[in-house]
Amino acid sequence: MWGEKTFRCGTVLILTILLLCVCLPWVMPQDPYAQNLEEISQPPSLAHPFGTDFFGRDLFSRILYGGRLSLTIGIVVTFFAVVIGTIIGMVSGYFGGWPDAALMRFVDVMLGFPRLFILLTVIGFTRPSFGLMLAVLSLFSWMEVARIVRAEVLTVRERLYVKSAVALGLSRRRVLFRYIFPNILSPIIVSATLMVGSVIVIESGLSFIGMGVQPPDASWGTILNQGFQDLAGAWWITLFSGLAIVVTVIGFNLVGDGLRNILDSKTGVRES
Amino acid sequence: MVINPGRQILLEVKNLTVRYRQRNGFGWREKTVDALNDVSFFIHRGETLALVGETGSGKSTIAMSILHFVSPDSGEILYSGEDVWKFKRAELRAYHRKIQPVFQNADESLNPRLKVRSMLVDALVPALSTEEKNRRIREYLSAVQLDEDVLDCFPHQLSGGQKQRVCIARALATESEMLILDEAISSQDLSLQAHLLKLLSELKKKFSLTYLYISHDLETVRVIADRVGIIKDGRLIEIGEKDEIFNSPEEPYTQLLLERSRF
Repeated sequence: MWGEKTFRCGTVLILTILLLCVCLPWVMPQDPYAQNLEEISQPPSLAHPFGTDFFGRDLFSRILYGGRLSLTIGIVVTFFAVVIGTIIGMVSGYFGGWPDAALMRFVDVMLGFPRLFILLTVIGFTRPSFGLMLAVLSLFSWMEVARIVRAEVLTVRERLYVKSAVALGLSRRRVLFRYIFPNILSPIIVSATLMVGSVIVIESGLSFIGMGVQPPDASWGTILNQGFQDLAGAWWITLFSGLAIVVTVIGFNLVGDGLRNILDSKTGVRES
Repeated sequence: MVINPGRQILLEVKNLTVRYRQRNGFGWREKTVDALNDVSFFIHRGETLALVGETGSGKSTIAMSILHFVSPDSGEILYSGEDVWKFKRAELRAYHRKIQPVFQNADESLNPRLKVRSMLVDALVPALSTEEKNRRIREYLSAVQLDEDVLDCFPHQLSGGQKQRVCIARALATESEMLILDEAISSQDLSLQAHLLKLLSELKKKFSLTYLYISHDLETVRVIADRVGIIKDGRLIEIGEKDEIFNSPEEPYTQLLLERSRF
């Protein structure tokens, strides 16, 4: 597994970022909310590796704190989306018939709404908050997973080992969770990894236009927005928060692609 | 076709017809293909009936229909006199445990994510104690001549012959009355085939099983079968005692099959 280059690069990137975001805020001396008006808009230096922002706050600390928020949203939303999508996809694929037709039309309807506009509408009518963003993003991200899972279940349930399991007189729940679910895990894991990246991008986008995480809380999107106000003067704010997003998303995509390569070649079910 | 009055009929297939529907690319016109056409036969308890036919003749469809996986368009399948396609869910689960398939492709028949031990445990009656389960697993393993080492292996760690034995052990573990051997030994090499045939005969005696042996290979049929049915293009064209079929076949197609198998 470790021999797969894409996977290795992605894992190293993600682990580094996770480690920095999780551990460093405890070690870093600077408080990400502490304003120091004597050090406003300082370019990167030894004391402030990423410089400071318009309120004299240390940007490195803020990006790490922001990373906690952005990563939490990415991972939590993906978790819920994958759980919802997997349940709906499995029910749809395994039972077929009218539940399948009804659920898949529901998926079509959900996919028919442009996700970003729904998010903006919902958030626009209420007060933007962390919890609301988690909920809305989760509720509008599961459809792709549901489709993938359904398609996988449709193939796997025709396999002889599933037929053999049915012939053992096992209950439908047991067949589903013991014989089908473990054999569709790899595409689920791959799409989950890829989803984390895309959710982080959406979260950053929302925060960038002021509909997501609200200042003074930091997320990569809000910091990016802040830097945008004086792109020429304080370029480091935009550069480093943008880089954080890009590197993280690339990391998750690399892991996703790498996992796909590894899992495909191992099961030999799909062409690599 | 004379029904022997002294013996109990375990499974009876009556006028079984199965059609597969094919649609053209746009899903407009439907074309039906007769996979099975008015097939009738029965199997006595304790007997081995072999169904012989070429690839695509419909013999596996018979197996799938008996196993309740392919629904018949008309006709009945009676197990101990009861129509299996009228079973409710609980009855169906009980029926499934009595009639176990062993497929040609052992690789495909074993869940790649489960160890052999878990697969066998799944086949046992759930109410048994752990000790009793372990005892039975050992018994079935030794019946199919496998070492206990295989219990902690995943299917991909086993050889082809071992996998097929695991499949047979699993089929026995449900305390089944009948095995449907759908080309069960065809993919093995010749020496292993001979070995498995011998094993199947022993198991049949030991566990008083009934076999429906489906194959294209007349040589193995000659060894194992009591009666033989010949399937061609979805029809059962001839059925009778093994010696009748092998020594004095009536249908020209049967004669042709026999001639070909002499090479």
